[in-house]
This record gives sequence, structure tokens and C-alpha cells, in this order.
Amino acid sequence: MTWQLFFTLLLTIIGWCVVHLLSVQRDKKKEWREFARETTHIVDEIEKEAIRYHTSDQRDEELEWNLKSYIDVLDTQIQLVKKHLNMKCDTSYLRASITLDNFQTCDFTKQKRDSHLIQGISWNALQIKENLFNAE
Amino acid sequence: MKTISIAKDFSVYPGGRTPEDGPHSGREFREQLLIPIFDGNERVVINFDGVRGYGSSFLEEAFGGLVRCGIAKEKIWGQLDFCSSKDSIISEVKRYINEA
Repeated sequence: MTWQLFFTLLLTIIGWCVVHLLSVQRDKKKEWREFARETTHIVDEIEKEAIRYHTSDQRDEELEWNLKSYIDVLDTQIQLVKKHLNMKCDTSYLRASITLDNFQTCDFTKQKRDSHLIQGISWNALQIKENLFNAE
Repeated sequence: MKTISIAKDFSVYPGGRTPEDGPHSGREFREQLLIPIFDGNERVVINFDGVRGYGSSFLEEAFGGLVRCGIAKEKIWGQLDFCSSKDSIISEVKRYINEA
């Protein structure tokens, strides 16, 4: 084998490895982007349940624990997405919009659909969904 | 460095803001476990992991409440460290201390 042939073979193998690695990387990113988009369903569910909680006639203690658990799951999934994709997202604002006021309190007050509190929940849910859809 | 685990030393099910709102409230946590830290000068790590979800009312009352109780923010930053597998919990607690 001449050195020219050896060099050509070596370059071909290196080129193949680079293409293969880039392809694996691209596939993994695609999977994480799909995961990020699926996570938006959890945000939808949290928003729906949070609005149901705050617009109820009475405080629902079981739903309080469920909401906190859902937010915890969302938090975990967003942490995972952030590890693999570029995304600026902080679930603390959504958690605060749901659980800072009128939550787990003996002074629970039924909220109107157009109240500041409900609008805040929808706004923060939308922000997270936008970030999840735009994660690259 | 001493560590306080909310799950082990207080409750896996932290509640709302005040004892009237239900058990394991933010005020109880602050009074039982946080305020005594500031009697000394030791640095303490607060570990948030292992809990079945936090409500912001608990976090605000426990940590923002420290400032309202008269503990200087510099003293809080000087003596408390926060540890959590979830960044959002720590950023939220820091926000409540800063905004209180």
C-alpha cells in the first residue's frame, strides 16, 4: 500500500466518523426538541387545572397537592430539556402565579375568569410554552 | 457546614403560608428552623430536595418573612446557602428575599 492510498483511506474513515457523529448529534437534538414540545402538554394541563382551582367555589386541598406535584414534574422535565437544548426558561414565575396568592389559604376566594390572577397564570404558561417550542 | 433538609427536618409535605392555612406552614418553618440560625454566625445549607412540591406562598413566607422579621438581607446572604436539584426553587427563594 502506497502512502497516498493509506492517506486517502485515513481521510475517508475520519470523514465518515465526523459525518456519523454529527448525524447522531442531530438525531439526539431532534429527540430532545420532540421531548420539549411534548412537555408543553404538561403546561397546558397545569394551566387548565390551576384555572379550575382558582375559579372553584371552594378551596380544593387535593387539587392543591396535585398542582404542586404537576409543577414539580414540569420543573424536572424543563431541567432535562435545558441540559440538552438552548432554552431560557424559569418555572418559578408560573409556580408563583399559581401558588403565591389565593393558594393553600383559609382565605380562599373564587376568582373571575378575567381576573389579574387568572390572566397571570395564562401569561406565564404561554411564556413557558413559547420557550419550549423555540428550544434549539 | 450544617445542613437543614426541609424534607427530613421539617416535612415532605410543606403547606401554605400560616398555621391557619394548614399544617407545615412557611411561618412554622421560619420560626422553628430558620430564625434560630441567626442566633449564631454559622453558615447553614438549606436543602430543598425530597419534598412533594413547594407552593410559592410557603417559600415567600419562610424566606421573604425573614426580612420582614428584621433580619438584614446581608446577614441572610452571609449565613444561608441553598441547595436544590431544581434551579427554579433557588431563583424563586432569592427573589423573595431580595424583594421583601
